[in-house]
Amino acid sequence: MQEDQINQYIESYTSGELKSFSDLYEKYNQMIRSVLFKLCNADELDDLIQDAFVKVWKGLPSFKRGAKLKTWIYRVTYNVALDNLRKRKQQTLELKAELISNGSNENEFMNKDLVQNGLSKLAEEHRSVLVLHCMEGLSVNEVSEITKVPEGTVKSRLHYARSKMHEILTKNGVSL
Amino acid sequence: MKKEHLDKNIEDKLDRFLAENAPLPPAPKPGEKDKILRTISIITPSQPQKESFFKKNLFTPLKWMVPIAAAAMIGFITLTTYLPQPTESITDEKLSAYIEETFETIYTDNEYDSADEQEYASAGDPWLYLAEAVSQSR
Repeated sequence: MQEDQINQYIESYTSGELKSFSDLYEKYNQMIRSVLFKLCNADELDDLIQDAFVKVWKGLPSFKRGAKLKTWIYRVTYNVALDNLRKRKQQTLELKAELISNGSNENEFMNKDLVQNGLSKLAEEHRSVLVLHCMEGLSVNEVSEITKVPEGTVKSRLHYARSKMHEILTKNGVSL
Repeated sequence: MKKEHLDKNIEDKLDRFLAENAPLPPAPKPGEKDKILRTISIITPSQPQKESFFKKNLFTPLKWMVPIAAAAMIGFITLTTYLPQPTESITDEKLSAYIEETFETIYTDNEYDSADEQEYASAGDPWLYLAEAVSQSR
């Protein structure tokens, strides 16, 4: 199934049809958007999303058969975020106090805000593993594949990131 | 850098809290998909194919043919200019045949000349012989 889909994307890329890209966009837009928002500043989100899609589309012919398309897209997205962070040369991000109101109550919004604030206070390597593992639901092995660091390092970064996040949240009145 | 290890129970609660309260990105702006599609259409469809068509059909053959043709031409000129021209070797048989033919001709001519001389001698005076010959022709 995945193989067929990838073949379809690659064929579409080489033949210049954009129908498959539309399908790719619909399937992975939310995922890419979500990761980039959590890892980077939302001010540049639109540009970063476009950059990620361009890199995914252009990289399709070099995609290794047998690999998981979703993990590969995560990796491309992660690299886009990393490039952006390095460009800005700042490890901690300013809190983007943008209201996200999609039916959530005030308390839930406050929690999301706190989490976003907490993420912005983490260093890039800790933020990445926490976002990919705890929020995107990826396994340690997948995070290791995406970030290109050994599983042991992912675990130790995860341990540090959790402790730091716990500290930030409890300081802000969240009891766990 | 070293942080104290969190209790497994707290760790699970934290993970759940983070999953439930993961910040949500703003909704895509209207026209975002079309904007990306436009960018994609510029970088992907026809451009690389046009380029590869040009490279495959025109540029690549020229790239290889021009130096090969130039090298072949230089080689030909060098060979024709500097190398000694091939000469026909004269074998003993050829030389013998040539000498034989030449001498045969000389011998035949000499024979003819000597016959004439005999005729002149028999006629006595060459001028009389000439006058006789002229009168006979008339």
